[in-house]
Amino acid sequence: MTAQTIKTDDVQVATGSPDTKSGQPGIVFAKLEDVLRWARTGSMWPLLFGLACCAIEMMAVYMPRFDLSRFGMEVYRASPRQADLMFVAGRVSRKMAPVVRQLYDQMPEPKWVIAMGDCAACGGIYNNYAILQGVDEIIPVDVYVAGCPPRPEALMDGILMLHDKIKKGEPKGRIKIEQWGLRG
Amino acid sequence: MAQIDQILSNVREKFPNAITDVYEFRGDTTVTIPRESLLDLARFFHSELGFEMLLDVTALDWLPREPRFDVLYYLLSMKDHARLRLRVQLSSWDTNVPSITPVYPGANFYEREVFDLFGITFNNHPFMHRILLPDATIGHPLRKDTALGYEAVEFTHTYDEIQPDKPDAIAPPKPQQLIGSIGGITTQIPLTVTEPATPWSSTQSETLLINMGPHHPSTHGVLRVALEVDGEKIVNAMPDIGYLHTGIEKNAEYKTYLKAIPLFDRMDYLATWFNNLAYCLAVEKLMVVDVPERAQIARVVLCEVARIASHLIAVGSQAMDIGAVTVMTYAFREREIALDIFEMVSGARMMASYFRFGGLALDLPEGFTPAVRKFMDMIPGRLKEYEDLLNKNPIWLERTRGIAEYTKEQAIAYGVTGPMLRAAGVQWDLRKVAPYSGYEQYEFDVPFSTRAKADVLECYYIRMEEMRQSLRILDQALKKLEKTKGQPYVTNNRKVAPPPKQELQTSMESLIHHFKLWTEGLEPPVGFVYAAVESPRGELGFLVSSDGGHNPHRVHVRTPSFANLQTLPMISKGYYIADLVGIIAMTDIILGDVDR
Repeated sequence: MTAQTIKTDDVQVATGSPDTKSGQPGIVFAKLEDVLRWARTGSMWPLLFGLACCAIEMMAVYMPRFDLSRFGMEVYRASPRQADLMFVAGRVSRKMAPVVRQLYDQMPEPKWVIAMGDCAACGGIYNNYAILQGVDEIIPVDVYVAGCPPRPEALMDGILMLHDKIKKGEPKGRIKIEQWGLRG
Repeated sequence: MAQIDQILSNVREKFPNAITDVYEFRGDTTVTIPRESLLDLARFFHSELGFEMLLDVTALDWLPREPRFDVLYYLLSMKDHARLRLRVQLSSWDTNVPSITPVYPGANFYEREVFDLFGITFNNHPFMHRILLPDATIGHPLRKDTALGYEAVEFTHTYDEIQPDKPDAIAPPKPQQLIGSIGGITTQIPLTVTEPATPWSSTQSETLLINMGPHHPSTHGVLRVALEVDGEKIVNAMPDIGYLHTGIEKNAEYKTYLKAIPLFDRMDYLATWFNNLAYCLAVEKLMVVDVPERAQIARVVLCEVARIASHLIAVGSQAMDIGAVTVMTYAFREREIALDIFEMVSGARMMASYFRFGGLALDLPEGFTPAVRKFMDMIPGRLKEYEDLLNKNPIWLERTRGIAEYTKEQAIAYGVTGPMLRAAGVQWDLRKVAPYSGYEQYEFDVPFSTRAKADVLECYYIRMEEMRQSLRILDQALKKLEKTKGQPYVTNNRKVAPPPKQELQTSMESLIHHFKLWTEGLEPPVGFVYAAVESPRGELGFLVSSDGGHNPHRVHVRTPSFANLQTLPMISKGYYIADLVGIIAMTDIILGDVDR
């Protein structure tokens, strides 16, 4: 006989069963990994870190109208040591690139990256000497959010997409060269 | 013009051989002078002729012409509002100019920028190093013989092909070093946290070099300040910029005039409308285009709404940096309403790109006026709310009054414009002294401080008052807008603006104009013009240079934040580190505006 496992998505359903309501907590069987993944999505702490125009929209997301705290994410940490999600909000210049990479390295595992906006995704309209053509040249990106700048709703969609990815245990993003299979 | 002639005759009297050429184009005067007499002439202009402010220093590269470079100095006399541009021509094998920082201290950053982007060396400059690009960069990107960089479109497919042109981004980053001149001595400041900052030994007392930014929540972006501190006190604060250098000016040279509009949106990203407006005004000046009344009024309305939205964030972030987070939250709540108006007009919340040469991209939508009215009705009460939170708050007052004091003379010497200048007691606003877009028809006051010295609190008062004045302008402008309903919103000059769609069906001529406009672009005459607007941060000016082609030969932006930031070492000296965040918030810099 094999133990019955409950998928992450079902956890909430199971705890909301009549047993719970009558004061008798039900017993839920789940893989520890799934529970961990589920828990991680519940309170991500993004790094308080903005680069350019997108940073203003990123701020708008956690301000009253869009209210990112609905996703347990309103606590922006200024120190990378306390953060597990990085929004690369804006264009990354070649002067800034080593700094971004260093911030990423300083974040403890597990960590995720959302490339917010076209500039962070591919350089956007600035295909020139100063701008990195996508932040995935230096750090692995999990979710790309399109837009210049993306609307707050688009960013929230990206965040939910990342939650989904984490819950499903999908592999993490890779840097561009790895994606092409040419190196590493 | 008579005024400029008078000035030039004065100069000729004193320096008979100094002026080699006088170039007048679209009402701007450019005086060519030899390199040798630059410093003497600058002194003369500064002390005798009342040109007290240096607005801008930039260069043009006229490859393959010889002399190849034009170095342009833009001087402003505030007393009678005269503007004059000095031009020094340099050959390609001898790119040295004397620095004019002894006369105009505000030239410091500008000369470093020209050195960085053009490779023109300014002799006797206090710190002739790169300012925008990393120190290790090879070449000077804005020279015409330097390519745009990367591929125009990424067509290369293998790593080996790409790697020669690309930065070494895959390798682990090296700890960056900044060579900083602090206390007059060149010092290396390590950036990494792993290496402790080198204590800098001085004869007077022991000071410490610490690093603030580029990742710091209160630097409003990616500003880095190298601080030399004595305990908690700031001995020297040296801004290190360029972390958001985007190469917008170079990119614009590769686009047609029209397609360059969206590039400039993203400079001052809290007041995008002003970037569009200043660029459109410059190109309109170059092409001599009349803008219909309705478009002018619409521009005024949208810019004033944007000014309020920008000042809201300025005040909010200033309060947040000092500890009053509520104001920031409220300010964003109000800003959303302004963004709704922008979205209604252009479809985009922030980057509108709605202004076109000769008018607007589209007519204003139905329901625009009520939306703005609603916004206007809301703002006064909300401003009151902020004032209730701040004006009598002892912590706020204690941390702003008397912090970062500077005088009128200091502000002018550094080329400061905008609220920072008005807080120092100069009643100077381009909307009054050089009206554009019909600002002369509106009644409004220019708030300025009557105190002897400006400080953080004074700047806050000025911004609050400016929002109220913007409401006054909005009220008048909306009434005028109602009267112009149904009138054209874009010029009928077919060389600039495309013909309306219905005309294309019937007129071959229109079809040709339309085709030429979209395939080739504008056909401007040769020359360069400068047009400026009063952005929420100060004078935002565009120098558009044309060589007769369909792309701009060079677009240089005189951004207010760049000049305002230069004052940071001066105004923060002697205050505490905790005050520095308030001081940076006072300057209200936008790093996109600083670094471009």
